[in-house]
Amino acid sequence: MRPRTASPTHSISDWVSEFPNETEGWAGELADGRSASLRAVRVLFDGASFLVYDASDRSLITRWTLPDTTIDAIQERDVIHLKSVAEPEALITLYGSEAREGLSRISTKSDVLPRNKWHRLALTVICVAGIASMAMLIWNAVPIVSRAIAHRIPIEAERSLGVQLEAQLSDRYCESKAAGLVLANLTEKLAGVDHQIPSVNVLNMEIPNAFAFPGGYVVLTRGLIESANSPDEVAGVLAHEIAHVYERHIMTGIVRGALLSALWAASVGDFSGLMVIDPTTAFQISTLTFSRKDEAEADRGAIKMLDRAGIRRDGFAEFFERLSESEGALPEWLSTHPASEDRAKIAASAPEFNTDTRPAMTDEAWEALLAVCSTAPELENESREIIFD
Amino acid sequence: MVDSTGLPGGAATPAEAPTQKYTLQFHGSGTSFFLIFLKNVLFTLLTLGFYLAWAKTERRKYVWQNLEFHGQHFRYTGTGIELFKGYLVVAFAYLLFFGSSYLAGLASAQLKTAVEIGAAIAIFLVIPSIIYRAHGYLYSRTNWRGIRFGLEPQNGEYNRAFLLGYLFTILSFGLYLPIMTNRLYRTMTNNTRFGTLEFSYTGKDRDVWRMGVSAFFLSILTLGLYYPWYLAKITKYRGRHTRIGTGACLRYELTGGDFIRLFLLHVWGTTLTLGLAFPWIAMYSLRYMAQRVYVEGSIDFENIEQREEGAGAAADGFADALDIGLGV
Repeated sequence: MRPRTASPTHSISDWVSEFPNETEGWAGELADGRSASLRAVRVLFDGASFLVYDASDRSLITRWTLPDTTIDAIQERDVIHLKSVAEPEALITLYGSEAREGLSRISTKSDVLPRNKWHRLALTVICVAGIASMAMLIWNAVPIVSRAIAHRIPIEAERSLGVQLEAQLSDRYCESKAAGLVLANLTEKLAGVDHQIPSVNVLNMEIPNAFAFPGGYVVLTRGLIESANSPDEVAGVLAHEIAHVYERHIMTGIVRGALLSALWAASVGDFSGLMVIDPTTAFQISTLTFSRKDEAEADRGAIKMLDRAGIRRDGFAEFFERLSESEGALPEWLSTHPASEDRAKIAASAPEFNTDTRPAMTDEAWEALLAVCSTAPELENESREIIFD
Repeated sequence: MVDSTGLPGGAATPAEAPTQKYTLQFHGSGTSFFLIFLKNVLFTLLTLGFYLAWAKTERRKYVWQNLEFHGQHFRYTGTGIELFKGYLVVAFAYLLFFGSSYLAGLASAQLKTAVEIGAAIAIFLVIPSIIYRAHGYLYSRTNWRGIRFGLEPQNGEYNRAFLLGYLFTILSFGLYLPIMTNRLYRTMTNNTRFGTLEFSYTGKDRDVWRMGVSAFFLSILTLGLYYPWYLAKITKYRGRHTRIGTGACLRYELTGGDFIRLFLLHVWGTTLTLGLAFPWIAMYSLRYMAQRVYVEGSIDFENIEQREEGAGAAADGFADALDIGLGV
């Protein structure tokens, strides 16, 4: 007989007399947690407690109330573990689909995952949709957050990242006094009043290149100046690099990388080592996307700067037009920079803020700038691709 | 209270039970494991990483409970909060490291370098005790028939075997490596307990050294093809010399071909599916291994008793942080 009510006034002998017959309750084993021996039991649920009877002598061994009891259904088997806070070391194992079904009616929390295949499918869909929307949210939020963080980090703190590179490069800087003055004037004109003026130097290198590095340093190569058709072109490239410095693109990139890799590590966790979706490659592609956005922003910043300084922006446009003619067929999404053709268009189509423009410098100044490295020793050619960072 | 009217304890027969095979079976399913993984990724993203400790605990629970030994399933009794506290300790240590390195950097570049080198050495020195304690945590949260596994505190033996082993291995151009790994395995095994049942290791340094050195030359001669067979050989040797109590040992029925098979499955299975097949491959590998390992001899389960609780979870977190995680 199955006891309908469990009253604490029952004595042990009452329970003994109510031992389930062969078809009642669930068969299992009890490990008391003191030794590894097992005892065959039958377990009955009376609506409030689990009654545990010895299978052979039919005596009541113990009684676990439902709130005290944890039901752990083993996912892939018809095996259930019962634990109770009343006897934390003891373990009851129940076997059979009847026990599993009976217990799943008592507690719905017993399974790690749903057993029904439609419920599982629903869970899969919810998880995939959830992960996709979280990924999109992160993709959009991370650049904004990293930008905000980067702008709060003083440029002096960033400098510690750039000093080593600066020390290495400074040996190769061209030190013509006249050219230095011309560059300083141009930089000051472009920088405007509300910003710190970055340190600009010319590197004695054949390959045309220009870049900004951590700490607000800007470097142009001799090759760039020599290959320019006019001082306006140099001014355009310089304005672009200064815009990178003012927009804190380098620090933003560092913060963004740190945030993304932390989020990746956190979500995939210790599976990361086993995943072949290589996080480095994924990051490189994502970084490229962000970097193209930064470049476009620097272009817009450069045009504003040129306009404000009253320098013709034609040079900027012409420079990228020439670059686009020599550009290879790398698709845009694999490139760090927007297609040069598009950049030339940006320059040509942006609204004019200042129509009263002059050349970036006088002919004498341009002569001086062209001769910037005349006194410095030639640097060995390094095979570097032409990148305008 | 549990009524203890079972067998009268003192009257247990001391007669040796006949030698038998105690087998393992693994029932985990790749589909379930994949679903657990998906759910965990979602929850971890939603909680900005805080769920990680619970995710790991859930995965372990699933793997443990689906492993059956001699008719009974294992249980993992660790909790997410334990592991989370471990991660907090690690986060604090990180903060301490970067904080002190930054502060030293303000004073001078040399001081910064000195602090960083000092910290690197300190981290290296604590690696063995972290590995050991992480195992201790895992063992103490592993339960079978209501009895806990455990790892005794080590008295610095494991640390010495690890640190000196590293030094000797470098000085001997790798010739010492088989001895080092043998000693690490020995210390760990000799301190392993299942309740009051003690494990021990009788494998000799001389034997493994011979196997290791000959494997080195045979691997060169066979362009590395011998290596999986060496792995099978050393695994079997270790199992045979791992005593469980007084009358049983571990047996592996593995060949080099099994290692090659699992290795190729991992490499190709994950590459071709961009890693997405991983849950299925992991479950398959566990099933595959469980079929090929068993305990042989006799174990008197009736006389195994419970022992006290074991180590905390901080070391587990550290092991993860240093990427010397236990792989589960």
